[in-house]
Amino acid sequence: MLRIIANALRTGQVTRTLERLEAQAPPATKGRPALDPARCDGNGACEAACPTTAIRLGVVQPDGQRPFVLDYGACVFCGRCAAACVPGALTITPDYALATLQRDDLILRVSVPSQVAKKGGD
Amino acid sequence: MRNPDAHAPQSAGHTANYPLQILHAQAASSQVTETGHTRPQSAGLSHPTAVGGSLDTAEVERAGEALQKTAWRLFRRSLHIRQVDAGSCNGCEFEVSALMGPYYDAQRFGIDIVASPRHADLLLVTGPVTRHLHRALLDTYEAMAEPRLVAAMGVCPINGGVFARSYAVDGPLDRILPVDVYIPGCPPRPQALLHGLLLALGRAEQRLVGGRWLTRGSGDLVPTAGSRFTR
Repeated sequence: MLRIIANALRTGQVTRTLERLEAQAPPATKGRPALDPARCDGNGACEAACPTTAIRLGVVQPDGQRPFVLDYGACVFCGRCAAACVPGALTITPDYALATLQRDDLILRVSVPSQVAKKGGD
Repeated sequence: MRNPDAHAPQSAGHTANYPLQILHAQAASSQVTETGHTRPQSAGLSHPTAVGGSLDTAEVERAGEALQKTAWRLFRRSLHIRQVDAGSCNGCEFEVSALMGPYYDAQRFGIDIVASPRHADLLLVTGPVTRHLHRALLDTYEAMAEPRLVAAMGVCPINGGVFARSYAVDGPLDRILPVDVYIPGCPPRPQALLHGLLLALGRAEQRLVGGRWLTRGSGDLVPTAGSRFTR
């Protein structure tokens, strides 16, 4: 018993304060995918790769643009879209603090150029 | 200990500092409104929605302290959470217990998980709301006292996630309960959860008018069409 107490006193504090821990998320942390609409060619590979249909591409408009919808409320941060993206428009960022008060704030709606209009698009 | 004016917002509409802005707003004016969700529409930003950002350690500390201060004012003591697993895969539960564990130690910010909905200020829902747990979730919500905040944790209650469109799922949660804050992630990191809880407290503050809570009552309950419970 005394040995246990002595041992406990000798060991001291084993927990660390948070300030001394890693400040940022680990480098391998996968956060939200970010889209660079300028690099996107609208080929739809990301839509096919997404397991939760968080990414949806609409039909090609007459002006050659395609609506691109990314729902962060459905994205599971798996990174398959970024891996499937040939032009490198989708990249995985370490951003994870995504909480919002409105459901609609989680949905990214942009228009991307489409190079596959002749193939019928969607 | 820390002067809130020292963290006054410097630059508005900067996505990288988005959580920080919320914290600043919270610390300075103690009011998080929809104006906190400035939508950066400038051409240089590839992400026009309100979301995005991460918290470093100092920001987590500030988030926690702001949360503690607001909870003290709103609830006189602390923020008590009742967590309901509505068909979750338990990934989110791991993050909740990580937030409460010795590493993140959210209890120092006055947050606690309680065992009864009657003691709780906030209902933390994980999982896609399966048919089986639909009724348990509604009963839990009914048992809570006002102000009862509802937080949807993870993509499952928000959208269904990988369980979306299953025959056994009654969700998403906002078709069943009025959701105050959406915390996406699969699962969200503990810091993201802390950030979401801070937003939820800002929402609670809006409902405190003249020292009285604006109650929502049961009239806001939206029974899901086609669920067995409502039939």
